[in-house]
Amino acid sequence: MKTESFRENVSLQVQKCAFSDGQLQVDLMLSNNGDTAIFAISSPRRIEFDQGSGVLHLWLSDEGRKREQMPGVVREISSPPKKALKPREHMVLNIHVPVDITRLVPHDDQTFHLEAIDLTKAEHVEIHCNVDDKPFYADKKETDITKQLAHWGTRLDIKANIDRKNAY
Amino acid sequence: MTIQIRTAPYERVGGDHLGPFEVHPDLVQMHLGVIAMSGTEDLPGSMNTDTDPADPDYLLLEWDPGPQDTTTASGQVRQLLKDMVDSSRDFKLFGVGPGFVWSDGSTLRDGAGGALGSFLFYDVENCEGDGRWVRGVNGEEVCTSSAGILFHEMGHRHLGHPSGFSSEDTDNDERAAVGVENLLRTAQGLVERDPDHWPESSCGCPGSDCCIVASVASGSPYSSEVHALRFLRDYILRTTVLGRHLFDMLHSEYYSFSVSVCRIMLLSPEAKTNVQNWLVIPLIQSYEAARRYACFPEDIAGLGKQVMENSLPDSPVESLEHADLEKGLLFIEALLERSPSTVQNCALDASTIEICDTLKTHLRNCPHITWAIIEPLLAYVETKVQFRGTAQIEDAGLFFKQRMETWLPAIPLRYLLPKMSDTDLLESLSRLSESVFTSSDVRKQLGIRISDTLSSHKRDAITGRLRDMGYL
Repeated sequence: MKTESFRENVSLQVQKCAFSDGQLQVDLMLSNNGDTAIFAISSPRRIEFDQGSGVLHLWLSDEGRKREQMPGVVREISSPPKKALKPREHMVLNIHVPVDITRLVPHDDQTFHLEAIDLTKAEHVEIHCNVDDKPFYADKKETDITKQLAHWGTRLDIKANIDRKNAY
Repeated sequence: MTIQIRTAPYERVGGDHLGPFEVHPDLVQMHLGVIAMSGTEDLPGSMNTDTDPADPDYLLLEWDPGPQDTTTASGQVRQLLKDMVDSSRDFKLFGVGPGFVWSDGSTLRDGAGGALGSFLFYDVENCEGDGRWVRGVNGEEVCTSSAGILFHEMGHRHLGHPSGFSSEDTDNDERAAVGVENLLRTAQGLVERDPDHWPESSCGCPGSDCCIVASVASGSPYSSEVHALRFLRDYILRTTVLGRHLFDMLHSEYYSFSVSVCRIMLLSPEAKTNVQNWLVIPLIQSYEAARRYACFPEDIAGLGKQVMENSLPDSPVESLEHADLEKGLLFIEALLERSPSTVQNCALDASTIEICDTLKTHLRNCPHITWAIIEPLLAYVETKVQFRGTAQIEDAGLFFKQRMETWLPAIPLRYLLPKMSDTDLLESLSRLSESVFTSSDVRKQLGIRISDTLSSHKRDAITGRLRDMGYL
């Protein structure tokens, strides 16, 4: 866990959040006001849409994920793609998410169905982005890669409304 | 016969207006073909698919490569694939692409492949064309391909690993599947993946999964021809915002026809040779000549020499009979529907004609592919045909230069410009004026087209900068 000063030196802002070309485009400005370089996960690891509340969660983070959530599927987990940000600099993370999402829903008998998720119905977006002052390195003594990834970095959260007026 | 390829789009729950989910059977067949070729130029035996009589939503894979030399890596890969074909286990293959998420919402960028019982799902677009790296035994990040991901997942199933992460043997299972993947990597002449660092992989690898037509035509995704195209893609095309948008358009257009072309090639060695000799190699040579033109636009003799002499070592194009080169020209003209004759009059084999017809039909809706691939190819082969056997090197250079000066400013703008901010457009044009649009005539023609395409508001905002950069 990082100190409060680490968290205070790093900030996230939403520059753009709108539908375009069949995608939801979110431009995030990440600022590093500290004295050391930081690393940030740069693309969504998970996409969760709560149809009831209309909130779309974009997880540039492995927090909150457990193996039990994936009965029967997904063997291989990749390291998160990360971008480095030098001290006292900022950068824009361009996030593109297709509005037509298909989720694999496994059944106990090893069959499945596919669920269609229409992201144009989303009203708000919550972005969760993990940053740290060092990249992720897998620990070979600990085989649960999911747990290791979930503990990497400090999470920054930000909310945004989807700009429908300027969609093109 | 137990390898099944899902062909029918899969019905989805909860989104009737969105339609069923596409499962990319053509790409799956192509990746199986790449595995079966296992780093060689040959596909032993015929690899066929037929509708599964028990379930018409699937194709059944049929393949018998005959006896294999299992002392070689290629032989081991083929024997293993054959064992899978003959296995008592079912393999139901689903190609999945962008927009697919696993049950917990994790994306294909997070996990490229997975299994659920006999169902295998894998990313057929390899991180939406960005490629994927894995940790090599040399400690470096090395590229992998969709075929490698598929073979890895098939390895899990073949070895009887339990699905998912419930097993405490996950680590050992992954090492074993990496071992299967490494058989293919070795056969393809690649650095092996490090089984002790299997979680270390991620999206973003400039070398992987480029140009599937060139990969199949040249026999390997790692051939010199494919490397040349990768270089152009990664070090010229994708270095500007304009270039990246163009790449995205090319990528989506390319995949509308490339798998169909590859499927025909895998069944016809003659068609494969024709595509290699008439499209792939001349295309690389045309880009090399275009680069020379961009670097030295006034060196007409040098340009003529570049076009008329081979730039690739041992290029088979140079050894083609003149009549064969003319056939190639006719083939390319037919793609653009500009030839008064037809390819049917050239005594071509049925598979090559089928490829021609497939491309011709798709190119009508592919303005970016037509501009970026077919037009420079045509310019190059036309020059070769017209000046071959003559000593008119300078005339050839002038002819090709004129073609370049017509081609370059004609870049399709209609879909590209609306995607770009003024800043991105100007920055791209500034950089490209040093590498691609080096000729002042080309810049001026292009500047006029850009100006005509933009709204009056945008035009007013950037006209001064365009003029400063020589685009007006």
